[in-house]
Amino acid sequence: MNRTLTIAWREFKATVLTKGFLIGVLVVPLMMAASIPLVLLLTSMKPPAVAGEVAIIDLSSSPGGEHEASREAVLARLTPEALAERVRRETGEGLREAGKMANKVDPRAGEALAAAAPTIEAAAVADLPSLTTRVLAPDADLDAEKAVLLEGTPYDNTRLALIVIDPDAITRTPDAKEFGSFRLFVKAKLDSRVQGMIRSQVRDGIVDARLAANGHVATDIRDLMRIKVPEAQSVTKDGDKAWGELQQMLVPVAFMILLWISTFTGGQYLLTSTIEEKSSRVMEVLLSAVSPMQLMTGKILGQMGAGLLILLLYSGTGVAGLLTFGLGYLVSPLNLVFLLIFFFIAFFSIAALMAAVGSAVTDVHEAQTLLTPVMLVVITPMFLMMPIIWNPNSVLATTMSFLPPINPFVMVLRICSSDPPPLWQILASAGVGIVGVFVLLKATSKIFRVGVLMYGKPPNLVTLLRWIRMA
Amino acid sequence: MIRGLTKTFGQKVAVSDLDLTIEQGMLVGLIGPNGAGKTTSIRMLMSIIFPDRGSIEVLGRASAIDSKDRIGYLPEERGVYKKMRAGAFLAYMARLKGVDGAGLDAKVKAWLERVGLGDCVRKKLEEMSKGMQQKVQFVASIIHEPDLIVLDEPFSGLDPVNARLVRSLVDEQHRAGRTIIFSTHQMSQAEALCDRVVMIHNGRKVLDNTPAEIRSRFDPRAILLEPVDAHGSHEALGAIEGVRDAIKERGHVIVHLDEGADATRMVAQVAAITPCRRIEVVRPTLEDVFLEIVQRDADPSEAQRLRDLLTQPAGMGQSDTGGD
Repeated sequence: MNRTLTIAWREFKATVLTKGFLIGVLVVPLMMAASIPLVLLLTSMKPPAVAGEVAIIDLSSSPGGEHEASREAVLARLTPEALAERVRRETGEGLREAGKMANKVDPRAGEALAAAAPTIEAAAVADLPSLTTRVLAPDADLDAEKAVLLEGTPYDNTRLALIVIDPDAITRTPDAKEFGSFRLFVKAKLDSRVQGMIRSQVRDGIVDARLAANGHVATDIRDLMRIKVPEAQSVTKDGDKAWGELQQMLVPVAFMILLWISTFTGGQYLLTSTIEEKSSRVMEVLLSAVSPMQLMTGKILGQMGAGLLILLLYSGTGVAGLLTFGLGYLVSPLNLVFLLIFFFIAFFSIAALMAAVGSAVTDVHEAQTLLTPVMLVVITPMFLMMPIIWNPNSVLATTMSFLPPINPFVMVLRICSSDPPPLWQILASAGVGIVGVFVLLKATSKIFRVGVLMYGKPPNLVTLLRWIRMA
Repeated sequence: MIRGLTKTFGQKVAVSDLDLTIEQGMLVGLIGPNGAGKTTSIRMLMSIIFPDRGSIEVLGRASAIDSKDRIGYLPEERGVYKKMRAGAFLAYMARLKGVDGAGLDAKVKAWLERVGLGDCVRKKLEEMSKGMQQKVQFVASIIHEPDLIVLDEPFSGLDPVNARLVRSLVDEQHRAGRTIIFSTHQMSQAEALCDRVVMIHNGRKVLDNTPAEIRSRFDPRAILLEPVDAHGSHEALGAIEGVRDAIKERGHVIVHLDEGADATRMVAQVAAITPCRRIEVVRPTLEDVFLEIVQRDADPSEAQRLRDLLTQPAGMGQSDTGGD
């Protein structure tokens, strides 16, 4: 056992102290984490305020048009107050939706968001562009007015936009199927947010004018059309529950991907280190000191350490992040225990397959042929992820929970879903997984014993089966 | 002790019915051309591969697995962890052989100094020459002071200076009472070092004896002379009683003697008839012996192939499936 641990320790060190591991597993996530404040800082830095003129040619108020009120309605929508009111309304609606989600997750998060709402709204209003309006004569030279847009920048009070309201924008021309609209010409470098705001305000102004032309009060109509959309409540024995998307999607996906990354990183390193030992002919030197079984076990244990390091590092960071934001309850301690159990089952299954392939070939290219069926099997949980998340107790999900070597991944998805499986299924799946691991390791040990000293033409699957029988 | 050891790879019989008993403290050379079955025999001895038939007893145990700590092994296909430092590699191999404790680092350093690599403790193996790596590998096979040392082609790839160094280390281990088995296809090395020589050909043991016994058994009963007059006649030599024939060959004459003829007396008689610069009783080499044995049953082309194999550099012509 001591020798097995000596091999495991060398394998672990040789893996985690490589630049590839340090950069890929540790540095990149750390850089990503470090970049979050940087991104927040950069996004919080305000660009120069947009300031300039919006010119209007209202053909609907011209002698050809009928309703001079349209021009006034549009102008009213482009005042600073109107713009601020729109931003407040949209930001408020967004915050209310976010608040509803947060309340489902944690009332404290909802309260925190509600408390921050005025500040967020004020910040949004402070970002508003400073617009002045100018009404041009209906017979103004359009090309000349458009040419004005070429002058200056969006920040120097030159013309930002030119609006041309069609003659039939307020009143439909007899026999016409549709109303007229308006045309919007903007300065080339005007940002899309301001363009969108002007477009929406002009459109609302024209709608207001149309409603007025038909004898309606615009605000009354809008009130009549507004209705609150309720969230579906799941009726359970423990009371009504409204599962948030966070719980339905993110937690199971995060857990499964974490399991996948940690097992596959370890498995991949096991494959390459076995191939390297074989191709560099160090294998026979090792086998003079330890048995093939000791060597294989040591290597698997060493790589399990590397995989476990990734799992603990990432899950620890994730849990710490959730606790920081008061969302710790999303991950129950029992789920973490199950994650650990299924990590061991998943890792040993993948490691057994990788060790078998690694021992049978002499370079990575040869390994590709044998790896293809292995990858097809183990990537299956990725394809089935969404159906399982949305219906964690379907026949598909239940069946896959008992099929090694993919059952650990499926079971982790189900355990973290909004409707976890019964305990007996979890235990039975773990039991099946352990039996699967035993069978895979047994077969791998036979392949390993024959394969590590076999050079020349790489074996195919039939040859591997023959090795299992003969060893 | 090996009894009836047999191993086949597909249709090829690599080793057939090999019997071998080696006493403690002996230095035994396993000789034969490339592909003879030496490495396969050694791998079975080491329990790296397993025989189809036969039994092995190593150091009083049923298999080498049970006494790996007491065995030092330098395989023919030897490799190192290229990214590892020489000192760390030796310490790792020693630990795998059960050596540990505070003295290990000092021991590693001492051994590296011994083989002229004292300044390479922290040097990565990939930065060292092949010869230097080979010396590190040799040290890895004996650092744990084993009772049995098995060396598969230990001198192949070494320059004359390092070959001499390794030979002296082998000799030193032998003098320390350790049992040593080494394989080589260069029979002169075995002749110079071994207490006993085992010849293998086509997977079968064809000879097993001490070099002296082998030489006496395969005494060609011939006298080699270099006449002063290289163009003179040598017919008179054939008339001497006890001489079977005298053949001239590239400035030398080989006088073959009849069975029972006294070689010492014949040397005097030959020298009296033909003045010569040099005269000696022909001493058979292991190569001669080996060729004589295999040529008994082989056709001329096979004999020529064997001659070529015996002069082939080390490391060539190895089988892909389990050594030679």
